[in-house]
Amino acid sequence: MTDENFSILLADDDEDDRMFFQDALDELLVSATLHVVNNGLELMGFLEENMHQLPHVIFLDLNMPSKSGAECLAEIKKHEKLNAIPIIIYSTSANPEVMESLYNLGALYYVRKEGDFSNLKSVIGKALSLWQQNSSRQPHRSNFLVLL
Amino acid sequence: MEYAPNPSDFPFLAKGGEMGKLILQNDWSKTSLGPIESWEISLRSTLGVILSSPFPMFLFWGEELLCFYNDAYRPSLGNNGKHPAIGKKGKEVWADIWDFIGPLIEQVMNSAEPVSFQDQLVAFYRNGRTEDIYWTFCYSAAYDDSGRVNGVVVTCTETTDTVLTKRKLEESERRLRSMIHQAPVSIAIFQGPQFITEIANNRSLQLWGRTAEEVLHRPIFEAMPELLSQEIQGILDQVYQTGEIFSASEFPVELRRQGKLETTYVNFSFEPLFNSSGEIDRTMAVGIDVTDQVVARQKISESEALFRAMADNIPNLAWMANADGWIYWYNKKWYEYTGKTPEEMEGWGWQSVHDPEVLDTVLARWKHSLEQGEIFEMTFPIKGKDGNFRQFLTRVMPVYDEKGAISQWFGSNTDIQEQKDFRDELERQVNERTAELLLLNDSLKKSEERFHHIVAEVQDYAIFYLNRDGIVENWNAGAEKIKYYKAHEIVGRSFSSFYTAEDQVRGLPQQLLATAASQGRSTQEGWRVKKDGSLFWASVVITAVHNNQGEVIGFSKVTHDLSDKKEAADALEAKKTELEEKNAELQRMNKELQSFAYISSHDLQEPLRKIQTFASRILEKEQANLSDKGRELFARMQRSAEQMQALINDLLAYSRTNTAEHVYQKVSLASILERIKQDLREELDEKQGEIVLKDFVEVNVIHFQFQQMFYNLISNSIKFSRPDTPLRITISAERIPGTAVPVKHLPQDRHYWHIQLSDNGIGFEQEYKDRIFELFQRLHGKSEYKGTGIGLSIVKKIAENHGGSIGASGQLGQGATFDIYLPVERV
Repeated sequence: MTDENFSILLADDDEDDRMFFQDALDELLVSATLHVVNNGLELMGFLEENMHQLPHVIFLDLNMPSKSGAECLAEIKKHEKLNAIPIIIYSTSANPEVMESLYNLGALYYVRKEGDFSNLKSVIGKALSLWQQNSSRQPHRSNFLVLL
Repeated sequence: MEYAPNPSDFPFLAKGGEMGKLILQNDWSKTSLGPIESWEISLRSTLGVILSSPFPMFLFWGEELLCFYNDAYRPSLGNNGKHPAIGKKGKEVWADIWDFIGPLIEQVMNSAEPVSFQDQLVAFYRNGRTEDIYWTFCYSAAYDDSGRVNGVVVTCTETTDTVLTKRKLEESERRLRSMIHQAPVSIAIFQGPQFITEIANNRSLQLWGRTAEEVLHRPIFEAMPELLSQEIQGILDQVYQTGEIFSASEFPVELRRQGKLETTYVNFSFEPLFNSSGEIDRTMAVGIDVTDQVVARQKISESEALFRAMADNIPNLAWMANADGWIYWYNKKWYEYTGKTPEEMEGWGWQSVHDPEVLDTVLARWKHSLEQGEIFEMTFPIKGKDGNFRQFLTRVMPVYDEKGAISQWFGSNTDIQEQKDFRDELERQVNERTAELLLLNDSLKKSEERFHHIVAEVQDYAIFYLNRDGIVENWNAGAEKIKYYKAHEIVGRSFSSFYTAEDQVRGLPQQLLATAASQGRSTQEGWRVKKDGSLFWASVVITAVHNNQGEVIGFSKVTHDLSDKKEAADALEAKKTELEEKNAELQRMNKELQSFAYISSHDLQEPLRKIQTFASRILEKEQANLSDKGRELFARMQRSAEQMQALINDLLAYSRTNTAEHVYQKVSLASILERIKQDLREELDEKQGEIVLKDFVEVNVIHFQFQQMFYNLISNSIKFSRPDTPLRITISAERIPGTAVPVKHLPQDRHYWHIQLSDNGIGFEQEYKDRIFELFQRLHGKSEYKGTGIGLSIVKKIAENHGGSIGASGQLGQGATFDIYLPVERV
């Protein structure tokens, strides 16, 4: 991870998960700027405020109060200025039907929150490198879920 | 008379008869001729010829055409007319016809050429009237002494009688011809030995089938060549040669009519006709076409023959008698039956085959019929040749001639012995049956009485009779018990008083009667009113009662009090509603529960995951600070957490099968297995696993669930594979009719996919075949085989979600087989 200039926006209402994500980035030596928002409403507000300096990628939790991740995804993909931002889903659940609909909405990858931290770390790292390699192009649906 | 010449002086007048005397006496000196003495020699000699001629002659002489004529001419002038005209001027005497004779005389005088006429009609005055007279006459020149024409001698004969006679002859011939033509028989006359047709009347032409143009003036055998080869030619020749008349009756002749050769029958005669010299010069044929009569007679005789044949062949005895009853003919059957000969039977011989005891009656009645001309009909016995009598029905009908008089009798005898026997037997049976019926009737009466008694005594049903207008006519005990009325209170009143006011207003009682009248019966359940005004729930059947003509004469009404039953039914209905409500509530609760299971599982996994994460962080970061015991406990804690996570994941999957939307799509079994092979690649590799798909089919399923099902089944096979043997999973699919599905509760009216998955794993004991699908049921310890006991429950649930079923069979150590049945079409 050599590119110093990219910024990640994490939208997650769970404080512990935000901490794990930060720790993972730290241990992966990803020197990106991480912005964190606590829920969907904050996410949309943040994006509106930083229209001139949008994040390079968004990690989006699904189960959030006030506005769910899926709602945010749909809204962003409909927004003409925001729809280019790559969005990686970041969630505990792995309901195949939900995954299918998120893929259809335009999410780039799906990352499961792994219980084992080293696994979590490697899956986040893999997602980031897939994103960078494939430069935001949506993969085939069979590769949507990022595996260890 | 001053002038009296002496006749002896004029010899030309001497033999002149009366006319000579008149000439002599006439005073000629006053005429242009002058006295006789001065007449020219030529005149004298001409007159001498004329006066002595016995033929009528006349002379016009000189400029004035003075008239002279002889005694023979005198009668032509009649008794009372022009005579005496001697010495008078022609123009004066013949003034009435001068227009005609004047020019003739002038012509002869100028040309000296004679002019003659035959049978010329000249009308002139004689005998006091104008008569039409025919003359044959000649005007010729008379010369004077100088040789110049100076007069005209008329020699004439009156032919009036001859002309009229000829006329009559002609008329008569014309009539004859017309008669021939109009004759009702064929008449033809042929001329000469060639028989050239001179006359053929219309009848002849009709007979011959020819037109006048085809036959007239031609030899007849040329005009009718079909006669040449026939006898008739010879006959005609013979008549012409011998002069003998030939006549024949019903003589057959072949004639070609309208191109068809037909046999014609003729009555005809050929007669020779003689000319004035007594020679035969013509032949006359007179004939009548009698074909119709001949054919009719032939038909009659044929029909007679037919009648005889028929009469001989009918099963009856038959015969015919003259008007006086003398039988002249019997049919064959008669002789066959009686065994008698015609001679024995003829006339009145039939009496010998009659029963002497009945014979007198037969004779008396037969004679009566003969005298009165009445049809004879009687049954009597006739003796057969075997000596036994059989009963015959005899009928004799008179046959009338054209005048309406009886000409003969036709009799027939029909053997009715069998009928008689049959009738006797029938009578016997009828008598027997009548006796039986009387008995039956009696018992019926008793039974009817019993029935009335029973009806009257029935307690649970109101049974009564209504007349056509719905008036109650009788009343039983049940009616009294149900409706409280006593018989005398209700009989004679309308049955509508049993109905509620509303029902009466909407005309229900009349409707029920109308329905019963039109359809035979009407039924209804509803509230009815008792005498005291209280209501009861009644089941009513009204049945129309018909007379023999099929007309409705009244109704029977049976009413049953169903109040108890109604209460029970109402209670049941209430229970049912309650049950339905409870059921709905249960379903709602179940749904809530499922959604609770889903949400709680989902929410449970969050903290669990974090426990795992924290644990992994501690193990990693604080490794050095933990004792061995501490590390082992940490590892156990992690395994428990993993186990719990697996449980939660499976529970989630299980509950998802209920909550998720069911979107059906066509997927190929091959693509599903391919995906699973990828997902489970490591595990399969570890077991050297192989999945063999035998049938490549497409199924209409809920994609994710179907995939989940195979994922779980294959995971199951992997999990329970034998450690020493490479895993082999075989999958087949077959489309089968519902009737071939060995699962009782699946409907048989559709087709199913039978998908079978078999492995060569450790299998299971057959007694667990159902238990393996139950939630949280495990056949093995957790330490031996990991698992939550939910996987196969999910499989079962998915099969059921598709309207199908899954079953398992196996033997310990022999592998397991799963049979899945899914409807081909979405349910």
